[in-house]
Amino acid sequence: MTEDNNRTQNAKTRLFPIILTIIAVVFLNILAYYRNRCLIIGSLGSLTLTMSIFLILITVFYEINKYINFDIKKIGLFIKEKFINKIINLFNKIFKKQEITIFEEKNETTQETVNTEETNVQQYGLHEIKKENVRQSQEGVSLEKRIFSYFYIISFLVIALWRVIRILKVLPLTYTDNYHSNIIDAILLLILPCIAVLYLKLRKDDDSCPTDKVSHDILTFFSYISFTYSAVIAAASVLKINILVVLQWVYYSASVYLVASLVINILLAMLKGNVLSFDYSLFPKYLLSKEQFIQTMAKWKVSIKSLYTIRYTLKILPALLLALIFVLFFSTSIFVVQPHQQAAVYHFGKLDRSSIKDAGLHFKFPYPIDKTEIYDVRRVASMQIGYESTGTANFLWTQKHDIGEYMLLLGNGNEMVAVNLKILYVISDLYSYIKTCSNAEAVLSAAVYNALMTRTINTTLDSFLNVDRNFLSASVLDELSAFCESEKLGFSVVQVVIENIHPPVDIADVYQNVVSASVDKTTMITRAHTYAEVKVIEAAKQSKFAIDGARAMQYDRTSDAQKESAVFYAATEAYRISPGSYQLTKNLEVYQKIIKSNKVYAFSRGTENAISKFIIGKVNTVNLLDVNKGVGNE
Amino acid sequence: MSKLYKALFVLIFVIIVAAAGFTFTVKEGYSVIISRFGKIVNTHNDAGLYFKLPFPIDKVITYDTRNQYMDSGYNETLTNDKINIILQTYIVWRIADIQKFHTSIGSFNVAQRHLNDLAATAKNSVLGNYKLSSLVSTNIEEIKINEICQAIEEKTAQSALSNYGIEVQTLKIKRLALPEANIKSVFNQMIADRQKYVSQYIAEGERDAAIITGEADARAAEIYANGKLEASQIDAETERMVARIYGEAYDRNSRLFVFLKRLMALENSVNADTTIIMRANESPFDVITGSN
Repeated sequence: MTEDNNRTQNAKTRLFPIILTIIAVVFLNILAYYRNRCLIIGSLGSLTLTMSIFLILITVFYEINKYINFDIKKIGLFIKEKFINKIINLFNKIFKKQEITIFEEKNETTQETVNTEETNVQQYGLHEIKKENVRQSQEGVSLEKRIFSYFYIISFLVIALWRVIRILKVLPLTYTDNYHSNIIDAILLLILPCIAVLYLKLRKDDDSCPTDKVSHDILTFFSYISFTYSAVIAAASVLKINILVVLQWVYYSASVYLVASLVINILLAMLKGNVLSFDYSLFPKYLLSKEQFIQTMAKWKVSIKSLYTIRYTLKILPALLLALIFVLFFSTSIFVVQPHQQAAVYHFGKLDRSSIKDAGLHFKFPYPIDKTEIYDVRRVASMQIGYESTGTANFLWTQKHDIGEYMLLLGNGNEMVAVNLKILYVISDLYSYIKTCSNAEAVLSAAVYNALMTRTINTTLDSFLNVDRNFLSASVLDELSAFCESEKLGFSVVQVVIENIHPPVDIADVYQNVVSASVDKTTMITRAHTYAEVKVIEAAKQSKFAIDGARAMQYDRTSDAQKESAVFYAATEAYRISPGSYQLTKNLEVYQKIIKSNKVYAFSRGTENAISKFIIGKVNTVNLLDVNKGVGNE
Repeated sequence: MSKLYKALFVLIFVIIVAAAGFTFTVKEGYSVIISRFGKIVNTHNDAGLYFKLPFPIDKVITYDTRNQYMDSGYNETLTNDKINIILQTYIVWRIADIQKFHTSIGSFNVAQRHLNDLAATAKNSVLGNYKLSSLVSTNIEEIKINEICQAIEEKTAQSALSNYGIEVQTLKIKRLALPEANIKSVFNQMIADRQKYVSQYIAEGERDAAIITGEADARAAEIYANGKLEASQIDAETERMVARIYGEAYDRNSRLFVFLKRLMALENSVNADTTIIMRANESPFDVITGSN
């Protein structure tokens, strides 16, 4: 009856680690979601999910195995004979070696291990060490049991593979989140190991169920991981240094370790032939030999076979907590100021000029006596004036510059102008910057607008568009520097960059039309000049052509006349010899010439009226030549 | 857990409770009011560590007494010459009387709303006494913007200090603007002004181009005319030269000259398509007909 009660109690307590890890998964994911999807906490949730899945799987298989009531060790033996020996035999056949009986060697090894453990029990006084001899038998292994064992192993491997892939996917290899001041996360995370430790302390473990041992290991492991997480987050939050990058590697190592240990345990169990014995441990028995491991544990007065580990952990936990508190408390006395920074150290809220610290390592009273605020004083900051910037802007007249532009009323009251400035400044006096004003940047910005306004209210657009930008920049710079000094803003204005001065965007195109018109004017004049030049050149060409033509004609005509005269003078000589003969000869020559290639109609006197009948259709002039009279007979 | 640990934890707990419950710090630039069951029992304006009774007996109310900045809203008002103008001012203020501030306002947001109202009232009353040219003018002597700011600041500061315990450090105009409807008119005016330049440039361009082309045409005509004149002179000279040559020939033997010229003219006036009709009883055909 007492045994039954214990079993019932164990069954109930066995469910607790599963419930705890599932709650932890939900809690961590919610926490990660409300911490801007914090990858570190999310990855811890993923790790916890892996643990809970393994816990559930182990418990389920244990219960199923108990229900179907068969010797689980036979399954391992069966797998070994059916698979491993066959593979070895196959290799032996291939390499023509003698078959090695693995069974016999394994039996000897197992027996030696048990003997060693018994010796250790006597030697080191460790209690409750029990080890069953592995029975090797091939009998009574049904098909259902074989399938069951295959399913068990495959389930483990599939889950392990799935979680490894998932873990590597979730793993925050790129650290981008900002975790400072998330001390609350650390406190919340501390709750998880505390619950786990409390459970482990309260549980009555009789080692009757291997699940209890595995859950014990998993919870212990989970407690250490959670504790490490919370300690690192707390340290980073208090010290304000970015050491959280280490977390991802802690997490990575833990995840790989957890999965690898379970997979290796399964493989070892397969080789030993006791796959379903649940004799797995998260602690590295496979890294050390069993003797070394037990010796090491004994040196530390730790036994994984008892509750002594838990008791030892609980014993040193207060000291660890105290040490952690004191380390964290005194670590707040140290702070580092980078070269571009200055630090203001408040002593019970008080601040004076000597409390401003430059770059280097500094010491102060621990928090909350002294508090530190660090400012980037030497980094040149910029302030956009004239429009509300959302990023990079193009300064085109006709395009709106980001969100909205300020337009300044000009002196004649009927014109407006937009000015885009950039103010570059640094914090030159941190003490004044902190003490004088709660929002010094806004005051400086307003001063810039005021300075611009005073420069536009007495001018016109044309004048302001043509203003000397360097002079304007220098005058604004001087005014702002004087303002910062008089108002003790703690700023030093480095530069005033005038990015653009332009008419309002809505009508900027009209101003561009003026420029276009001016260009058009120049174009028209240029074209007219071109036309004029071409016209004059053309006229000169024609003039020259006419003159040259006249000259050419002169040469031709005078030469013709001279030639003709020369012929005439020669003819005069001939004529003088016999005028009549000469005339007749010439007449007949000409007559022959003109009738040589022409149609000639000779008609009798009185037939003139019939001429048209012969020459009808002809277009040529009808020459009535009185040949008898002759040309020269007139 | 050993007794030592227990004692240490208890000590730490006691220190934390004592520090959190019985002390508080005032940060530089801040002031604190201690209210005991709602009644103000003390104020601290200097930074440092102070003691109090633990919550809920004493309550620490902290205010930032450094200069605060605020932009007033856009305030449309009428100037003395009945012109609507929009003013945006900025105010730098601080808490001067923390008790009065706490009792009359108690919140920075409310304080800024009240200050905005005070500034709006002051702007309306002050700007009614000034013309627009006091704010914007190309004649710098007309501008009285500093005087206007001073007047608005005085009115606002006086009321803020007496009513709310707020000291107005600076009140200045950040921006002057016109109402939306007026801005459209201003834009139209600016467009018309610029359009004037556009038309002027185009007209000037056309004018200058016309002048240049006209001058070019005249110059070209002159050059061509001069050329033609010179060509005519050459032609005339040619005529003279030819006439002189022919005249000399004519003088030598005028009869022969005329005879040859007529033959030449006859020869030149007949081409390949000319049909010649002649009487058969005349030379040279009379040789055939036997008429001679």
